[in-house]
Amino acid sequence: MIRIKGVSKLYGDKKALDNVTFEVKEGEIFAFIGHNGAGKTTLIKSICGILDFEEGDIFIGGKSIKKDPIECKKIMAYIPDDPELYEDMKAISYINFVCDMYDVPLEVREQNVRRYASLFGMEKELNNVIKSFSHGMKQKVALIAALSHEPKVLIMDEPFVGLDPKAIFDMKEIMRGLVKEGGTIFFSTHILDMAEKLCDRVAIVKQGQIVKVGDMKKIRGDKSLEKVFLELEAK
Amino acid sequence: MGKLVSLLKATMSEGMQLFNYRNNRERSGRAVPFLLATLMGVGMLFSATVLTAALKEDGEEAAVLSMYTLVTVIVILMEGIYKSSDLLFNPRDNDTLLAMPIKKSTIVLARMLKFYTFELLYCFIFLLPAIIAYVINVEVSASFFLVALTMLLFVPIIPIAISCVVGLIISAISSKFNKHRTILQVILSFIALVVFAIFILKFNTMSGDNGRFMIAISNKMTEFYYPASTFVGLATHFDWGQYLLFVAINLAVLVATVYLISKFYFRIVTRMKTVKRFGNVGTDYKFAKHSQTFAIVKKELTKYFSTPVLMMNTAIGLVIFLVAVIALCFKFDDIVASLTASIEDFPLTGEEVHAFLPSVIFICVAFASLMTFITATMISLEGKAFNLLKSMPISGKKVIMAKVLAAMLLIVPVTAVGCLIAFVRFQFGLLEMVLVLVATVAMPLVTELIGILINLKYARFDAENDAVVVKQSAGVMVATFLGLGMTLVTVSLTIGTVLMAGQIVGLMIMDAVFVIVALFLYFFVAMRGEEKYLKLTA
Repeated sequence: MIRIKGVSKLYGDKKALDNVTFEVKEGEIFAFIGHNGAGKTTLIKSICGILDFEEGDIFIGGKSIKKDPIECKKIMAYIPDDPELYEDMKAISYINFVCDMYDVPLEVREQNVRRYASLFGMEKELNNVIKSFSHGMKQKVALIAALSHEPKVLIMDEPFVGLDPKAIFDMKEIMRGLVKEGGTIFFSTHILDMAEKLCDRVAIVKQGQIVKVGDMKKIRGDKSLEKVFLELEAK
Repeated sequence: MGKLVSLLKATMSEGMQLFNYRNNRERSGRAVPFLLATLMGVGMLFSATVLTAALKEDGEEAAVLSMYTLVTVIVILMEGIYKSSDLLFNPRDNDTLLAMPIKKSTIVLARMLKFYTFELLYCFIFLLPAIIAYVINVEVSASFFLVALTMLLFVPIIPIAISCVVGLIISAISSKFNKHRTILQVILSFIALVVFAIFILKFNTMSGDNGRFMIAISNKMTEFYYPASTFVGLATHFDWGQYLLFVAINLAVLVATVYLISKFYFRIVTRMKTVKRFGNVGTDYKFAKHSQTFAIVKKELTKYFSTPVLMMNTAIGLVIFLVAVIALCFKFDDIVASLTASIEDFPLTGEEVHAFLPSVIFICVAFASLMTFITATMISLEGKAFNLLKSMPISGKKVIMAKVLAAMLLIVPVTAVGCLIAFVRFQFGLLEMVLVLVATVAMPLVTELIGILINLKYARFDAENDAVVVKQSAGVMVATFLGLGMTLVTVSLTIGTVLMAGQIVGLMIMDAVFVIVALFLYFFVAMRGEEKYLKLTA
């Protein structure tokens, strides 16, 4: 579903991504881990068409993000690490705005918004202005908006930051449900325990290069993911 | 002291992105605002030199110093009054700084010094040319240079202090309200500006000497405004006592303002950050499906009406336009009488002025439209949310054009209503009406297309608050100077073509120029805008 082929990205002289190549298959939860500044957010932004890159290409559902960005974005949703939304809007207006961007039919958006708002305990909050929300509540609004248009590919940058334990549990359930229905999830995280339990496959990035990619069980063997990661970091 | 220096370094480096560039291409891009500011300064130098030479004939050459001091003070006050509230109390780093072991007065001083640094620009645009013109025309002593340098550095202090105190009062009142805080902030800022404008106009009515109108107003204001009279006094007869007293008074004003604001700082900042959330606002959500363009326009209008500094910055020209047109409609005879009385050898009779009213309204539309760059900040004001927008399935071209449309929806109805009032009152002919109405669409379209191009070039997503984007960004500097230049050129060309080719043909030519430029810009933005948009990342 997501094919990253020889992607390199330069920030001045520094290579933020260096010939990154791997694939995320349909119906899997894929974790992308690495230390701060390793290139996780750069790759996520490149996948979502937010950031241009110098070499290589990224294919979403077989289409190139460089050549056909709008078609790629139609089946994708992006949740940033810092949910800076349109603060002066009411949450429901923001969700409607996102749905308008994805051309979501009225019945579908109403059904999905009510479903996810209820799941995240936000059903009585959506008529409030976003700037009155806490970080976690904004994250929930971003999630409701993203899930309302039923994306086939969900790209998330540190999705669990700021969420309360109940929301984290619900989020994991949603992720599992989404992949059961054929969806694909790609997310970055520093919470290795969660990645270990939740993900089918994982890629570890170090200084812009992929140092390990594959099935979670194969990569960690009889060790914990944390141990594998720390060993790779020490090298 | 060490803490203040570190704090200043940190806040300045964040705000002064103009000086940060990574390569030669970026450096040349950053140089454009300075180039335009220099051009404006050169224009000021020309006018100041001509004025000084004229004043010298009457032995009043020192009046040029007080006049340009007053212009600088008025400009700083006019824009300082409505941006001080956001600059002082709403920066993004407030939480971080308040958590540190720093005195509130140090934070306030750092904020004010940053404000001061930016306002120094106006001293270099308005006051420095007057000083140079004075030196060219008058033989000055060495002490004059000390006085001039001191004035360049000290003139902004009092207007900044006044702006900050007004900002403090506005913030103190508006922060007490939750739901209507934004609109209250706009209304209070507007009232402060109107009070200030009435105060300035008082000097107009007080001076009665019609033959030497400008000098009379300037002399009255100089008598009233201590730094202006001190400048003239020290420039002509230097006296150490007077000089030191001036420096001491300015520093005392700065210290007193910092002390006063720091007393209320924490309370106001806390209240400003508190946005009350209503526990249960119901589950009766409104679901409505719109096109992508409609959704973006709606979002832009919501942002516009929630950002007081943006509203004040862009609506003021439109409000002045409406007031001017209404005044012209209802006080036409008085205005003509005043013009013939105040300008010697005024070449037109009342009837002739009446005949040229379509051109007058056309010029008023030019003033209102060509200096209102709403789109010049629309991309930067997206902030980090720009990434979310960019991840959505909408083309850059559509986003850009929707932003231009939103700006047009804010400008055109106001100018069109003003024109319609004039049409009804003065009974314009059909062709005259059409010619003026074409301008109400073509002129803002040109401005807003240029505005969006400027913002695409100078987009900045990490500003510490909206006031920095709206008042202190490179894009806005470019837009302001460009708008001023475009207005002057348009007004001159309109007068020229109307006088040479007659009113109808003249206005037709001007309309044709604007329509052609608008079409060219539209296609240019459609082709190149997307390319520039795709390169941006928050």
